[in-house]
Amino acid sequence: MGRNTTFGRKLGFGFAVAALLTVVMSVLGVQSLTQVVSSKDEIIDVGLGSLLQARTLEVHAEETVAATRGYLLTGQDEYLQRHREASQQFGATLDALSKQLRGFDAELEQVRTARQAYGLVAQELVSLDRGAGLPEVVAATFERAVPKRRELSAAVDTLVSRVRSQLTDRAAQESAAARHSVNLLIALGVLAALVSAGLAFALTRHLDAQIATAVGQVQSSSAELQAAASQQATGSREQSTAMSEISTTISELLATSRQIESSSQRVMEMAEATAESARTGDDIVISTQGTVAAIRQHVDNVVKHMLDLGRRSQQIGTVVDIVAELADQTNILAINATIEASGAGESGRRFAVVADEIRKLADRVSGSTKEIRGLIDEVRSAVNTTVMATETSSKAVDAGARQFDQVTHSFQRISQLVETTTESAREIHLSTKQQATAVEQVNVAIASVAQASKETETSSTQTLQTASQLAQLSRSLLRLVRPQATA
Amino acid sequence: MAESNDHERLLMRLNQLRTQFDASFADVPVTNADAAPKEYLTLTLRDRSFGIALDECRGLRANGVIVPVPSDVVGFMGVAGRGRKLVAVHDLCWWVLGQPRPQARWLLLDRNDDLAFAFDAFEAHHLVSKEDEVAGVAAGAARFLRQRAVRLSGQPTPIIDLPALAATLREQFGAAREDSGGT
Repeated sequence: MGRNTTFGRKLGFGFAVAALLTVVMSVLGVQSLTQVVSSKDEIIDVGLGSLLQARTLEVHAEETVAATRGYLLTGQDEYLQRHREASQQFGATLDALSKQLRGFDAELEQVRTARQAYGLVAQELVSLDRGAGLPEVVAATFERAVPKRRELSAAVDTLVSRVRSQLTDRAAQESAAARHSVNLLIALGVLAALVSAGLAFALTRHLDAQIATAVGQVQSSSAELQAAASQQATGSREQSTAMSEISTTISELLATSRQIESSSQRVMEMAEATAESARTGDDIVISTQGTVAAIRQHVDNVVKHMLDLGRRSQQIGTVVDIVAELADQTNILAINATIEASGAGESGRRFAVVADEIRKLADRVSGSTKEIRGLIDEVRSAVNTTVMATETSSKAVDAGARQFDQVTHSFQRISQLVETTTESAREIHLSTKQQATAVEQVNVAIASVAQASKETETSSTQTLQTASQLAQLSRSLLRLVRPQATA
Repeated sequence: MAESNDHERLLMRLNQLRTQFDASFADVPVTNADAAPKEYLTLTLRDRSFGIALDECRGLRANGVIVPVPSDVVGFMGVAGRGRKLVAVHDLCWWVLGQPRPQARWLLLDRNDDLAFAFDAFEAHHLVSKEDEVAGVAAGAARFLRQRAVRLSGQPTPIIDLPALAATLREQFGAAREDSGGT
């Protein structure tokens, strides 16, 4: 058996060998017993049966003789019937014996012959005339039947003796065989015991060594396990402590997360309110933008009308210039006419008067045109001033409109940023909410881990105890295997 | 309020013009030469106002067409058409102030209707009484000015002695013609 053979196989091998021997012994014992029993049965069944039948044969023979004697004595048919029956029974018994017995042919033939002889004699006796008288019958019986009867009895006795003798021999033989079987069984038993003892010794020694080795390994492993369990218990204790601290920290973190969630909720609400205000302001800005555009359009219209007024006044100025030119030309003509009139002498005096009036009229026209020009200049100046002021206002309106556009753009940008901020606040709130949920889950998980740590600590402690018990058991087992081994 | 005052003033002015025009037909012409106001023309020479007696002029023309004629006479600008004849045009600013003014286009005809003087601009025609004659004003380097000035438009205005200037030009041209052999 190699080292790779397991303990169970070795033990099984030993038990198998022992069992095999036991089986062999049992088989042999069974066979022997069976043989003995069968022999005994045969002896009992066949031998004793034959003996019994042989004795029955003797009985039947006696009954036949008695029946014959009775018939011979009484002459009653009853005895004759009885004789016949007895003869038949004797024949049947003899046939049965012939079938049962082996090697008894001579004896059986002898009995059969004797019976036949007696039967013939009996028949003769039976057939004797009854008138002959009883003494004759008796004399005939003694003379003929008795010897035959004696021969029959002797044959039957011989058969019986032979059967008995055979039976006795058989019994002795079977007894000898039984004793032989007993001796064989005893020998086999001893052999089996020796083999089992040897095998047990070998196995014991082999297994002892292996067990000792295994126990030693178990002992060392249990020591290592004890150390590891101790470390694990210590680590579990530390882990449990750390998990408690972490659980406390996570609880604080959870409280902080809830506060942050609450703050983010308020921020989100404020951002949404701000976004709503921004949207309202945006609407107002859009409407104001329309108003500014209308103002710009109105100012442009005013400028346009003022410029148109300026052009009209310029046209008026041009007309006035024309009138002034006409007045100047008229004045010049009047002057020339006056000059010509003065050169015409007396006849030109009336013409000079007219020329003078024309000149005066031209002067008046010139004066009026100057005044008109002055007014037009004032109007144009006022128009220019107004146009400039209007243009300044228009520029201011444009600047204001541009600034308002910038304000609108900035406001829209602010509105967009507010929307973005609101969205960000919403996302932050959602994130903080998720974070709070996650922290709660972490808290629950930490609590579970803490609980598991405590359970692990408990388990480690139990493992340590179990390892200690295992070490103790291994020492005990080692001492069982090797009493001289120390703890 | 100011607009209504201006409107009333203009209405008054209009009425005044109509009244003056209508009344002018009823005015009696002044026959006394000494009592009659004297007529002057004011003109501009290089942004300075000068006066010329109307009776010393033959005519006044604006934007006269001056045809340049090459000449070695300083101040001679060319000729201009006057009716059916040509007249020599001289630079009045050059002769009075000594500074040329080639772009002058107003023409003032001499009494003899043979010379014309170009000047910058015509200002006005004035009727001046005796009381408006004042002492002469300092005219700097100006020449051909009368000794007495006239208050025109409220300002003492030097008066150009146009006949003296014309006589000077005739003598100069006459001497020049004789020098050139009467061509």
